[in-house]
Amino acid sequence: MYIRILNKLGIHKFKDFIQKLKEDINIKKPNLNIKQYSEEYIPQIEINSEKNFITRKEMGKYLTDCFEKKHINRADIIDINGLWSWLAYFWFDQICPIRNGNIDIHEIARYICSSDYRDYYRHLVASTYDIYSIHRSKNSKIFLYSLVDKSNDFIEQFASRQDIISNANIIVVANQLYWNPERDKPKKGSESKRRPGNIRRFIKTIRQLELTYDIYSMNSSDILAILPEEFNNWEM
Amino acid sequence: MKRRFNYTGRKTIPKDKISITLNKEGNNTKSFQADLKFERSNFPNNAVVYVEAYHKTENKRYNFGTIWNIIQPINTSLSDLAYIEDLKFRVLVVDETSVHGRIIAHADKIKPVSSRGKKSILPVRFCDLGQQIWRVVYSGDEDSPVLELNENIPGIHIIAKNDPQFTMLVYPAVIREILKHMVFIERIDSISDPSTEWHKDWLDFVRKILPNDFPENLDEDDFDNDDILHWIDKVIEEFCNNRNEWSEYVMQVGEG
Repeated sequence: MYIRILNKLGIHKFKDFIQKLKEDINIKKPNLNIKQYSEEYIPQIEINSEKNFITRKEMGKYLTDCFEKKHINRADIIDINGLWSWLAYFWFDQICPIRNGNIDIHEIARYICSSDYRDYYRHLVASTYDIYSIHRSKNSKIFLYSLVDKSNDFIEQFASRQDIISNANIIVVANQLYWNPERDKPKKGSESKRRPGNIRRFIKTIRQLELTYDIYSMNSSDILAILPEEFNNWEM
Repeated sequence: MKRRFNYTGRKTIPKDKISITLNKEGNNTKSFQADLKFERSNFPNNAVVYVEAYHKTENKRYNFGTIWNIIQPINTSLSDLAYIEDLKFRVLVVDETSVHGRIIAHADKIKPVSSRGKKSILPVRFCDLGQQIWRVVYSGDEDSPVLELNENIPGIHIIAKNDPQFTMLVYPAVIREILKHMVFIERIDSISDPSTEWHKDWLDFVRKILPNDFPENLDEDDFDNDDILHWIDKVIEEFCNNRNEWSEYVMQVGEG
């Protein structure tokens, strides 16, 4: 199957399907792979309809590889919302799975890609590619460790702050502080609102430091060095 | 005027000292030029000047030399950025004499010259809002208000412009929402010279609607909420009084 771009009618139909699914779990997914609802992305990019992802990181890597094989730059596709919405449609069974006869449908922005930056990062496919294509395997793990149908607090807290999520050195520091390589998961308590040096505090502190320091030009060790004491325990 | 403490010592560069021009080939933006006027600034001569182009998750930095010797870099290509159309710029003056560079002055959210000009204080965007007819989002420049209308309503472009029912029902509610947001959520730092441009535009707009009764303590911390709500009510009342659409609206309703 080649990647397609949903048009307005296709997006409307997809949204309608998601709404109806809330009432009837057995409703059939409409065929939006026809000219009326979508058109093929040019150059053609083949994706595997059988491909199953466990984590979002796997999906990010797969998509990044697909585009890079065809020499498609991130800048060329990142704002084609119809493309990301089509990929969500294409992998809908994975990003909105039926488990034990139940389906857990979240806000529409997870499936229909929004041009509003405050909602863009909620999209399960667009934000996955966006984050992976910037930070690659090593540094995207803290955001993309979740199952393919799940979001997490790291994405919620970081990705909506666009200047922070796009700063590679800040993300390296976040991985150094909060990632537990043995568990292959974030460190316990990092998402807690009460624990000193939690991720919310991290973002707030970076925001404050940005007023004084030229964070953009600082490497990860420099940034770590100016963080206040409350973050010391997380470095271990 | 509301007192604000600047613990960082960082200065704000007046925007009239900066002019950014986009270089285009046809409709495609290729690069930019920045005209920076720091001749009379008190910044150290060796402070480094950076210009950053950014939008959403894209950010690219260009070194413009030092205060003493500002140099337009040979390469200011923007072609590897995804969101060129809505790009904004920031200018930073950085003291790099210590271990960690310190920002001593900045200017942010600068729009290129070509995209300035006469602007609407309430841009309208047509998008899919589910079953909502309208909403106000604060996603414009400096988080300024944008009116979003549901594109799924047939003829909404024309309705929004010409339908007296729409004008009399929606716009008063929109203005009320924006004034409340500006005064109670964002807070105004000065009624004579607000630092946020859209606050200035909206205060000017409101002064035209209701020239008298302007609450002079709007930029203070201790204004009476009820007084301000009452003032907003009066602004809306006057806005409605001035609309010629009223008689048409009444007629339409009467005709059923």
